[in-house]
Amino acid sequence: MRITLGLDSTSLSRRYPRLAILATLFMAFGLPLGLYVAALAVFPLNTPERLDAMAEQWLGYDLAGSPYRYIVYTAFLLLVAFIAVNYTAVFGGVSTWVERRVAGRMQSRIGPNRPGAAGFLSWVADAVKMILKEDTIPAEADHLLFRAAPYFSMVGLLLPFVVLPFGEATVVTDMNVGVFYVAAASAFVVVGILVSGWASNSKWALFGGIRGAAQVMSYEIPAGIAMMVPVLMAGTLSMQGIVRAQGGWPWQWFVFQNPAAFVAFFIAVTASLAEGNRTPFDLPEAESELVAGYHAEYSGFRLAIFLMVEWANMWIMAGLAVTLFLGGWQVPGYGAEDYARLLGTGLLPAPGWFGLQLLSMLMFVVKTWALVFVFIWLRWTLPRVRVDQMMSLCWKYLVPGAFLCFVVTLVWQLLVPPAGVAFTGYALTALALFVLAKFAVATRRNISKVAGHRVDLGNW
Amino acid sequence: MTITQFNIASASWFRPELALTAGILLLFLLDVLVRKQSRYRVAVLTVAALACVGVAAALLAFQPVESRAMFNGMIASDPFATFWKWLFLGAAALTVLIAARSDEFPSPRIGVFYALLLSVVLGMFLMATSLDLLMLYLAIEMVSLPSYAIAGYKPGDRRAAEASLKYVIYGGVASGIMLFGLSYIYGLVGSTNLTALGVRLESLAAPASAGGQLGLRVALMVAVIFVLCGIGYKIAAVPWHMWCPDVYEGAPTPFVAFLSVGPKAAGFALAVRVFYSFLASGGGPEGFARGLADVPWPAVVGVLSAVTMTLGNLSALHQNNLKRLLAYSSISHAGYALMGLAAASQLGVQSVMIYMLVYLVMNLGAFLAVIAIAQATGSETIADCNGLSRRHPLLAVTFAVFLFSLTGLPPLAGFVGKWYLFVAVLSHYAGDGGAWYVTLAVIAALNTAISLYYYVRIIRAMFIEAPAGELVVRPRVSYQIMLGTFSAALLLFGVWWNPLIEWTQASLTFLTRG
Amino acid sequence: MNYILPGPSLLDKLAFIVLASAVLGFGLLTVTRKSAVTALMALIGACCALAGLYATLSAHFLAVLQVLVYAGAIMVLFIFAVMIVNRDDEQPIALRGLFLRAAGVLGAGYFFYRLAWIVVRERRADVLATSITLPIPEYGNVASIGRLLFSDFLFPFEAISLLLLVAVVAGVLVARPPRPTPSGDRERVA
Repeated sequence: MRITLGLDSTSLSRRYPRLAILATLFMAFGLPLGLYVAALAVFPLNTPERLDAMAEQWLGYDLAGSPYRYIVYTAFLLLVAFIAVNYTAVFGGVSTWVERRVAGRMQSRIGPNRPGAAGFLSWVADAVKMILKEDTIPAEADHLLFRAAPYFSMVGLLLPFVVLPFGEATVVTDMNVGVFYVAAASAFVVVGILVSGWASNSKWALFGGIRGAAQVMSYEIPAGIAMMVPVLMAGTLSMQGIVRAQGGWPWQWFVFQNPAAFVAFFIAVTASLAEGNRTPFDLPEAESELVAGYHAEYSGFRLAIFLMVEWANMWIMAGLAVTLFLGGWQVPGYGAEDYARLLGTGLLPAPGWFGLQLLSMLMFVVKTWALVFVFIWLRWTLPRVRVDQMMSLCWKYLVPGAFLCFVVTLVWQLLVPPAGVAFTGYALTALALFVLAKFAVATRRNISKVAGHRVDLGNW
Repeated sequence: MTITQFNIASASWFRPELALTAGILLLFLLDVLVRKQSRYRVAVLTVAALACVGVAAALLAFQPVESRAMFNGMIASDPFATFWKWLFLGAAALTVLIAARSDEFPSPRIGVFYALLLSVVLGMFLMATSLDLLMLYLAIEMVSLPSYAIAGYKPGDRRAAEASLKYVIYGGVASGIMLFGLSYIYGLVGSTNLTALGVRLESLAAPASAGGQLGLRVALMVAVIFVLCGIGYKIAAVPWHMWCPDVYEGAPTPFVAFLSVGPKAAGFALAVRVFYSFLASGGGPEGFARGLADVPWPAVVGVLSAVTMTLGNLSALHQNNLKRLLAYSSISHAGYALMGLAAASQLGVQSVMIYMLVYLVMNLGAFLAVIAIAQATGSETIADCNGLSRRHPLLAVTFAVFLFSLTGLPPLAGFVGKWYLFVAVLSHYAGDGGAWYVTLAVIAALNTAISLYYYVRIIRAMFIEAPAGELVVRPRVSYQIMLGTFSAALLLFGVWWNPLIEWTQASLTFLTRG
Repeated sequence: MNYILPGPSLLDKLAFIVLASAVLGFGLLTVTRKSAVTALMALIGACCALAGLYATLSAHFLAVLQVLVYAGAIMVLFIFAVMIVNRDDEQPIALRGLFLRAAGVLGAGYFFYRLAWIVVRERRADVLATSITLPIPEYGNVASIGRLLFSDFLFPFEAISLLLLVAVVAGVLVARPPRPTPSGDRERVA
């Protein structure tokens, strides 16, 4: 007799195709959307003053003077954290599916297409499988550190979400040291990689760990300096402050506002790819050399944590680049005064405000997903670099380049008048559009060269 | 705005240091630019290094002499600092000259050595001038970090590696402990400025209740001892002297010569500043014997001094390696010089200055003689000196002059230095705790006798023992000139020491408490 | 009058107790663990907890730097060094022998008792509060630290940059393999 768990999706989706599509739609849109709405509802309220006022007005309860106020605040913080953590997990899962589908398309194969519509639920199936697997710990491993290592990575992944602005009001907290905070928080990922490599007591894992640490430590420097360019242009380290200093239209984004920032954007993205151990910089886990690198000895849930961190990190990388260089959540045509006007003075903002907020979140999400797609394309296009190439790229090209961008930006800020900045914005935007158009045309031509191919959705 | 101007305005009293900074960068560049194979490489780099020192000296000579705090009270410019700066520049120039003709610095690596040496000198400048706990720590690190690297300069040499590692570990621990002490002081007093610390501490010392007073005293005492640890490590005083022989043995000898005089002198300059600004309480020119937190700090220093010189001398007795012997001798000399600090008077400070000045010449000379011997024989034990008087009389005689001067025999300059130290200590004969000062002086006298024994061991080997083989000893001409000049200077200032006294007397004004 | 917080609230006290005991606990682990890597991990924990303490004191910039520089960069370098040396058989406590240990513990205990006396029993206002200049309202944020760095502390700030340059060159000098000398290439650079 064949035992089918409820998740044997092949049979399920064959029997109830509508159910599969519904489940897929729910997982693909309902879940993230629900999280967004929850975030929109909860994040802006997450200030003690507003909570106090709400309790006063609706419940007639003096929260500010109550001994339980901190319990309430903490509960609210936990709610916020819960939403953020869930969003991370969902994104990490969905992005694995996207990656595998894109990879399949790029390599002229199908990719996962069984569970759910278009194989969308395969990430859920993967996660469930991982959780059900035995959690093995090698006998000779350093047990405590072996078990602790995934949490370091996890913490390093989750902490940046605290300051990553999803929308005009949708940010957990806007620290005055935001950019630094992200850099500091991502340091935990290195510790996780290094410790997992060491604690596994295996050569492959140790090599992976040491490579990973060397790589992340090295690329932190160009990434940090390149990130200072938007900081210089905005005059603040706060993430929201940096976004507010930009505008909604592309020529108001920092990336197009001066040539040094344009270069710094690519340096920052390259360096953050390396920091996130994405191909072409996936040396710490190079399958063909090191089995699986630092997580070679892991299995089950701990492995799932490592993999989730790896994919979810793309959101941080892309989101950071979007925030710092690509205008973040700024909606074209809406300025700070529109938000203020719609917010009003009442305890709860007007519905229009919520609409605008959703729009701004949408802007951020679309831009970030676009960048995530680029990361995925890069992974399936470029071969892995060698260790020495990785080091020389960082120290000989990116670090001096980042310093140069830094200095040029300083000079630019001092010397170029606003008209010049505006002109540069238009010119660079036009240049970028031109390059994009050329890229699209070339891609189309390449596809059509292969025996009259067209975009074939037949196997979805 | 005014603060920034204050920073910029200070720069005009900071020109020697700026020259040194420029020199460091220039040497880093030159080291890369001059071809490694070039025959003139050593000459070019040496001239460049000497030029940097020369420019710094010229700027120092034309600098206004009045005392002032610079850079918002971070460092001082006063005659006291200027005296030490001259001493450091002299030591640096002589070391560059010695190193240029030494075998221990192959030409591809000498440029970096000069640059690091100059950065040590810059660090010593800052040590002698720092008026702030922050600067104090920074200056000590500036002296230490390049020194660690130069101690391990010989590639692939196990002793050098050991020397460097020991130096790093001791240095790291010492500066860590000092930082810990500094943080306590800052926590208790709320200021890092030396000139403000003394005043604040005095006001704190006002009795509140017995328990709190005791607690405060203990906390301050521990903090100050921790700070002393960092300074004591630099001058190689006894509980913190362990690194000294191993580092001296493994490091390149010209640098050891510098290490034994430069950072030690800088350590004393710093010690004087710290001691005067907040350890010993004010009130009258001679009256700061009873100091902070009711602890008689001069007595503490006196005990340190006695222990340091005794231990250094006793350990030197059975050394056969000349560099190790000189290392222990340098420890004991730190003990002698601490006597001047223990005297806690103007005269005491002056005697420390005189002693360090004389010590610079005689110790550099002694190490130069060791380098000359090592270049001929390939090793540096006492047995290598056997029959030196017959092989190279000039070297033997000058080495003997340096050793006698180190012992403190008249009519050499070493005697003058020691004489003033004894005078400074014995001038307390009639005052409070006079008996203890007399005891200290007696211990120092006994130690001088002990030290005579091991110095004479070398002299006996040179003049009485028969040479071991037919080894030709022919020091380089520049070394011969320097040996002759150094011993002539020691003889000259041994009989005509007025210039030393006048110079140090004129340099005695310095910034202490605000 | 205190600009930093509107008086220590329950949450502040709780945060302090948790963080301070974390610092102490991790510190104890650091000096008592036999395995060097475990000790280092504990040190990272102590650094992070310390950063948390800074954050509760409104010094956010310092807190972030503490994590970025110490827990991130320096500790990773430490782990590197330990992995390369990897000697787990060393006795972790330097003081050997019962007498020295007892003396150390007693001395530290006495010192701690006296310090605690200052803080707890005496609350000496002149020591603990008035002698320290009260923090400015924007205490701890990036702008105020930057302003201090480029005015009062400009000189040490610049001196550190030179110190770091020299330290880098010194490090290279020690680490670099010997190069061929002009007289003949005895050693070849790999």
